[in-house]
Amino acid sequence: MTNLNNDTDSELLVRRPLRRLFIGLTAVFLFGLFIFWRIDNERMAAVRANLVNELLPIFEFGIDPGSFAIDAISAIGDFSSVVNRVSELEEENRKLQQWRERAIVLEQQNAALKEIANVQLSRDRPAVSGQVAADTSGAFRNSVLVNVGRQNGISDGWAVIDGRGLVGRISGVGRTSSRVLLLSDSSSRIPVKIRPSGSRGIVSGRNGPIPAIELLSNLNQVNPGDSIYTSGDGGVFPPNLLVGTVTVDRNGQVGVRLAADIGNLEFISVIRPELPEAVEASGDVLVAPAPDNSGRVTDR
Amino acid sequence: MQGQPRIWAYNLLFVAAAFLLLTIRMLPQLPEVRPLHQPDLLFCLMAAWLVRRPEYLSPAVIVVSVLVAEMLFLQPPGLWAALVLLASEFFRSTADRVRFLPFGYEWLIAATAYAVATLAYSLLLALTLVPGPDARTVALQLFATAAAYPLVVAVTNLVFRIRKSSSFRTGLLEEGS
Repeated sequence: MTNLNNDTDSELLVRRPLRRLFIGLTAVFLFGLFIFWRIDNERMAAVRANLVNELLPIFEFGIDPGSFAIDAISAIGDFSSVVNRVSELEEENRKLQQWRERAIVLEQQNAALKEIANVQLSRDRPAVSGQVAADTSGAFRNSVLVNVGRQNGISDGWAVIDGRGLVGRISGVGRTSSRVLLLSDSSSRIPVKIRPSGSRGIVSGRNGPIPAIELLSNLNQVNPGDSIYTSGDGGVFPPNLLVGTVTVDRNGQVGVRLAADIGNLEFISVIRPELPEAVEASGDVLVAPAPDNSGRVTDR
Repeated sequence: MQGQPRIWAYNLLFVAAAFLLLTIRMLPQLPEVRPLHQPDLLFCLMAAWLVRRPEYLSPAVIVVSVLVAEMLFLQPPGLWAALVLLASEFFRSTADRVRFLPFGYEWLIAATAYAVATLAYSLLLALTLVPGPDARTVALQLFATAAAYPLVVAVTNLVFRIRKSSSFRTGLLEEGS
């Protein structure tokens, strides 16, 4: 009985106030962390990227077997429909054969025309390939973590594509991992152009699978199905990466059906931007060089 | 008395459960489950444990779990963790009374606590001019979380074997002050 009383006393006198202090300090620390993030976002982002880089290998313990299991299950499902797929693919193959013939003809034409016009094409861009390690899309951010980072020479802002089209941009780089902010994220804004009309626009994410597109010019020449490419305006993204096609939903709102399968990413490439060549002139008004001797000016 | 090792074991079990929940959310192949409509299972689990056995879950474990989730999911760091910590202290302090109420009340209390925390979260984000989730998203998540609570309680009871403790011992200590 005395033992219990002693226990209660120490609980009341020491442990509970200490515990309360601990809780209070932790809460203050956490709110402070939030305020610090709000004020110095840049530094916090770096801290976060490094922390995530350390955390990711731990979570890969769970993610990798999970992914494997899901892939295995869906593979079984696929197998049952394989028979139907074969005939479909044969049909598709026949059509593609026809297109191939057509493509060869066009390619030859194209080569001939290029020869005539002496077109200088931009060089192939170097890219770093990686794999999606984790899908970290939350209630109001859409991002994935990929397994390439600073070690692979990646830095913030670079464009990310999958086999089909633009996926997003790098936002936060750790040593061996980095975060890709997807086109669907509500803070994503990409300048684009639309072909064939040549309209310009901005693709902005809205946390759904279909980002919005805000047209800036030639509004009425844009049709559903037109292709959308990055314009390269602003120098953040390289130009001419496929983004998707124009769609119009039931409410008449124009959106983008993304070419990339951002809901189910596996392999991605990060594109190293080509630094624009430095322009030597300072951009002053061009003036004639000053004459050597003033005598000549008055010369009539 | 349950003893210190048992408390450690339950804390570790919570860490493992949190790890599992985060891992499932991060599986690249599960995109179709829109995160907008996902219930906050970690919060449910925490509430269910704290109401049943407040001594089995340390505040440090709660804070670290939520903070890791915030870091991974690109949320404003610290804010939700702080609110969850405060909510956990609320559950802890009321556990002795809530435990002996019918389940309906417990459910209502958990859902209300989550709603209050979410509201505070949205409010603080708005005050600091951070673009947060819209009202519809918040409402959906609230609804999903409330709906998930009984399921989480069932799992807590059946899988984790955390039943309501019948002893008043912790209660006596709490009411000592």
